[in-house]
Formats: sequence, C-alpha cells, structure tokens
Amino acid sequence: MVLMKHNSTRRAIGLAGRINIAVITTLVIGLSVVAWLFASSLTQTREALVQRNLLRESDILYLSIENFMMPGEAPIAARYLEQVAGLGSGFSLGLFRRNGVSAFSDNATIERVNANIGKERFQPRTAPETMIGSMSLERAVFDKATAIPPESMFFSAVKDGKTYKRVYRPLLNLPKCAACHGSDHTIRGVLDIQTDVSDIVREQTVTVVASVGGFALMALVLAAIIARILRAVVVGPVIAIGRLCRNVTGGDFSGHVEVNRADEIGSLAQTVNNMVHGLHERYELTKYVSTGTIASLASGQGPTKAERTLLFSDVRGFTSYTERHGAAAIVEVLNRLLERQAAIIATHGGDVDKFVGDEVVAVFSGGDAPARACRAALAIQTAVAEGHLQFDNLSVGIGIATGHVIQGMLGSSQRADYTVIGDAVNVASRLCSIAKPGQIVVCDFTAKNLPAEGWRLSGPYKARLKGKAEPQRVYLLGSGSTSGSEDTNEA
Amino acid sequence: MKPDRRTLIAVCSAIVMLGLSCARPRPPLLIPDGYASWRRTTDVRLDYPIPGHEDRFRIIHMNDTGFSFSLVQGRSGRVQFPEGTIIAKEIYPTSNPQPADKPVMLTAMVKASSDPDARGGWIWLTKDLATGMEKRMLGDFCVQCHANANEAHPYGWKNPEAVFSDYVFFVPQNGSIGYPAR
Repeated sequence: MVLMKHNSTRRAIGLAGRINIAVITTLVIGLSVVAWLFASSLTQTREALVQRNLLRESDILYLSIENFMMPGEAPIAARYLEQVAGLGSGFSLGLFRRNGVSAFSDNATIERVNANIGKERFQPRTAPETMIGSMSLERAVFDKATAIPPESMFFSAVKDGKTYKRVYRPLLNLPKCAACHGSDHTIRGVLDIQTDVSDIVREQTVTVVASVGGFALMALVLAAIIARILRAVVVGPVIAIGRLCRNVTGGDFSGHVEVNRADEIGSLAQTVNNMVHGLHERYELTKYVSTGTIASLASGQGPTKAERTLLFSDVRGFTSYTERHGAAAIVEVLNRLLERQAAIIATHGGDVDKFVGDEVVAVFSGGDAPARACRAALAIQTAVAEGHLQFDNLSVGIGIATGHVIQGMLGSSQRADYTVIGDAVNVASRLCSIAKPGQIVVCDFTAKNLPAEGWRLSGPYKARLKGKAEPQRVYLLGSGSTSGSEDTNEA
Repeated sequence: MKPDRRTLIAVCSAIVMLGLSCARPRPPLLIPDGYASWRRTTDVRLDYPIPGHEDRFRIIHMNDTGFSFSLVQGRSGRVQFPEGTIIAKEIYPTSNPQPADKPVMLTAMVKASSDPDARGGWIWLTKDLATGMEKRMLGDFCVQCHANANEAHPYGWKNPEAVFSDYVFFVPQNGSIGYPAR
C-alpha cells in the first residue's frame, strides 16, 4: 500500500488581515446583538400596546354585553354588536358560542333560556339570522381560550399581505347569568376582536432596517478607521521591521526602521535598529577572524590535538617591492593578492588561519586534507602566474606540511585566536621560506599521503630546516625545479 | 489546564449564576396538609352544578383566622376577612362520591392583600392533592366569578341585600348573614 501524504497549502493571513477580521467580526456580532435587541424591544412594545388595546376593547364590549343581557335586552345587545362589527377601519368583531357557532345565528339560545326560566320570555326570531362578524374560527386557539381555566388568547394572522392582531376573550357564565343560562357550563361564549396592525409593522420594519443600515454603515466606517489606525501604528512598523530582518538575512545591513515614537513599537524599532547595527559590526569583524575561530566560538569547542595540513604562502621579493612603491599601491596590490589566495583556499575547503604581513597561513582538515591543500597551492600558483599584471608581477612561494598539531584558542582574555601550534606548523613555515618564486615545497609525509595518480612530484630532496638537526625529505609539487640537487639543497 | 480555558469556565459560571440569581424563586406553599381539620363554612351539600366546578361535589374549609372575620349589618353591610384567612374548597371527582373517595384537588383563596399575585385582596390558587403542587391563578377567571358573591346571587343565602361579602359566597353564620358553619 502506498501512503500518499497530501500537503494542503493555505494562504497565510497577514497581521493586518487578522486585525481587520477581528475588528469586523466584533463589530458584526455587536451590531447583530444591538439590532436584535432593538428589533425585539420594538416588537415587544408593539405587541404590548396592541394587546393592551385589544384587552381594553374586549373589556368594554364584555361590560356592554353583560349590561345588555342582565335586564334581558339580548336583541339590543345583538344590534349593538352588529353595529360595532361594521365600524371597519381595520377593526373586526365576532361573537361565538362556547361550541364555536356564531352567536345570534339561530334561536337555540332563546329556546334554552325560555326553558330555564319556565316561560316564553323571548320570542323566537323570524327575521334573517344575525351574523356578528365573518372571521373564520381558529379552532386550536379557540379551544385553549375556552379551556378551564379560561384565558384570553392573543395571536397574529397574516391575510392578503396584511398583518392582524387578534384576541379570543372568553365570556364567563357568571352566577348571575345562571338563572337564564343554567349552571351546567362555565363558558358562555367567546368575543373575537381583530385589528389591522399592518401600518405599525411596516413602520417598525422601516425603522429597524434604517437603524440596522445606519449601524452597519457606522460599523464599516469605524472598521475602516480602526484598520487604518492599526496599519499606521502597528502593522506598518511591523512590516518595516520584517523587511529589515529579511534584508539582514540576505546580507544587507544598510537599512534601518524609521519609527520615532516613545511607545512599545518605537522601542521595538530602536532595539531592532541597534541589533542590526551590532550584527553589522560582528559581520565586518568576521572578515578579520578565521572560520575556525568563528566555529569554535559558536560551538564552545575546547583545545584539540589533531592531524592537520598547513599551507604557508609568502610573497617573494616583497621587501624590495615596498621600497619601490608607495604605501597605497602596496596595500592595494597586496590585498588583491591575499584576497585571491584566500578565495582559492576557501574553494578547496581550507580555513585561512591568519594573515601575517604578506604571508597567508591556512589549515586543512580531514582525510584528504593533503590533496586539497596541494590542489589549492597549484591553483594559487596558476592564478598568480596568470594574473601577473594585476599582481604587479609579484610571485609567491608555498610550503605545505602535514602532522599533528594542537588547535585551540590562544592569546589573552582580551585578544585571542583560534589557531594551531606544533611541529607541522614550524615545518610548513620553513618549507615556505625555502620555496622559490612559483615553487611549492611539500614535506615527505604530505607527499606520501597524496593520491597515487595526478601529481607531478619531484624529489625527494634533502632540506636542512631551521630547528631540525637532521635534513628533511621534501618534494617539489608541480612544474618547476629546485635550485639544487639531492643532498646539496640544504637550507 | 490552560488559563484561557479557566477564564472561559469562570465566565460561563458567572453567567449561569447570574441567570439563576435572576430567576423568580418558587413561591412558598400556602395550603397546609392539615387543612381538612379546619371547620367548614357551611353545612349545605354542595353537589349542584355551578360554573367553574360543574356538578362535582365540594366541601369548603376555613382556618381559624378566617372565622374571626368582621361584619357590618344592614344595607351598607360589609364582610371583611382578616389577613391570613385561608378558604380551601375540596373538589371531588363526582357529584355523589362514596365515603372512601378522596378529593382530587383544592381550589383555595388566601387573604394577602399586599401580595402582587392577589386579585381582590385574595390569592387564588389550585392545589393538586396527588402531587402537592400549588398553582396560582394569575388571570381574572376566579375573581370575576367570585365577584358575584358581593351582589345578589343564586347560591345559598343569595345575598339579597347585596352586602359586600369579600368575594365569599358562603359566609359562615354570624348574626343574620350566611349559613351555619359545621
């Protein structure tokens, strides 16, 4: 089975984007809550006012019915309700018996009352049936209104695009009603009042929409202002600091952040500017310190004893050259020559340990250190020969020796170098001093540690080196010849 | 536990506590279990149908506080029950219950004029005798019907002089008003 790993890529949101999202989200939530509270408050107020009005209207009608009925003036009550129902202007009225049948629609009640009081108190009507209102019955709400205990039920209805508020107000069969209507039921009927609230709802909707629109506009303006302020105060400086850091990472120390404020951002910018300045100074210093020193400082490495190959290169005839030329020309040519040699040494994995006047001291590490040192030396001689014009016909002599050395920080607590000491160092220096212009003199150990093929070694020669009692076996690398033959070439 | 989670829990707890503190506390129970040992307000057999209770058999008890009501006789007569009066009406399931039958519920009046739930100076409530739960009747159903006790009505002594009877249909006999209590 092959498992495939999918790496999803997400577009990073910048600091400005995050702040904008946070600001807009906060405003949207806040705006929504305010709009909801506002709309709810308006709706509750409207509902309360409409319900109160409906309740008062039902109270008045209830009392009217009661006062018409008690003296036995049911026909007057019917006519009165009929007239009220015809008022119109968004007002509708209905009256139902407890079973949901429209009141005064037949003679059932008249017959029941006459039976209860035992005489023909009311004559059955022969006129067309009276219908109070024409609204349809909402049975579920009606049943709740006529349950025990009965309760006035308010509800809304939408019809033909208009909004109505409606109430079912139960009429009780009070004890004083029982003489005519009997005591076997609790609810006499239900008053149905409906009022058109479309205008109010429309006005409320317009108010809410206008308010929400206003709030939204305010929120957008506020968000834009906050975002602009944040960009100027926070995001801009942060972006500038980030750009400066990227430039420093790329080796450009020339920039700095222009933030002149006495707040946290200003302090951060000042700190970053100081840091970059410090980094620049240290970077410049690394040009004067060997790679080994820097690595040793970075790793905290202590002194070690190890096999190293030392390469010494010295300009021939430099003393007489300085006598013939001015200081500026000398420094210019010498620096050019030293820089070229240092570059070649670095290319071959060597570490320039130090420059001593016109001399270069380099250290090569690793199993193939002799071969890399020799290749670097050949490259240097070739480069110097080919660039004789730019090096003002100066030439170098090179000595290479391999052996065990002690490598570590040497010097005082104020000034120290990570360098090498040991016999191989002295031998390399002596070999360099006997090398003639364009020559590369290598020690016996170095020559024996070179790969078998690809080298033009001549020798061995015996060389008498300072500090050594016995003559040393040495070789010449590359083209060219020594000034003496074996056993006679002594220094 | 991360501090931000702790903060979140603290905020939620505070909101819940705030909500609980704002919730309306359940009102205390007003009808004691021993109400049945109170004296009755009338010896009339209440098995005839009336609106609100239909034809279910009823027995009305009143605590001793209620029996110390005040009475002014005559056309400007007035009955006034003292604060703390409790009148409890047992409602049986049928019009003719057997001796072993128990009432299913109570409808009660508690005189507490300053209580915000009072209507006409009384708290009107029902008590489920099976669960012991009381429910205050905050509408005008009870008081609207009992308001007829303050004028001539078809029950008991009928209140022919329309004496203000403090919303009580059966005022215990005291002088010439009401019915003998048992």
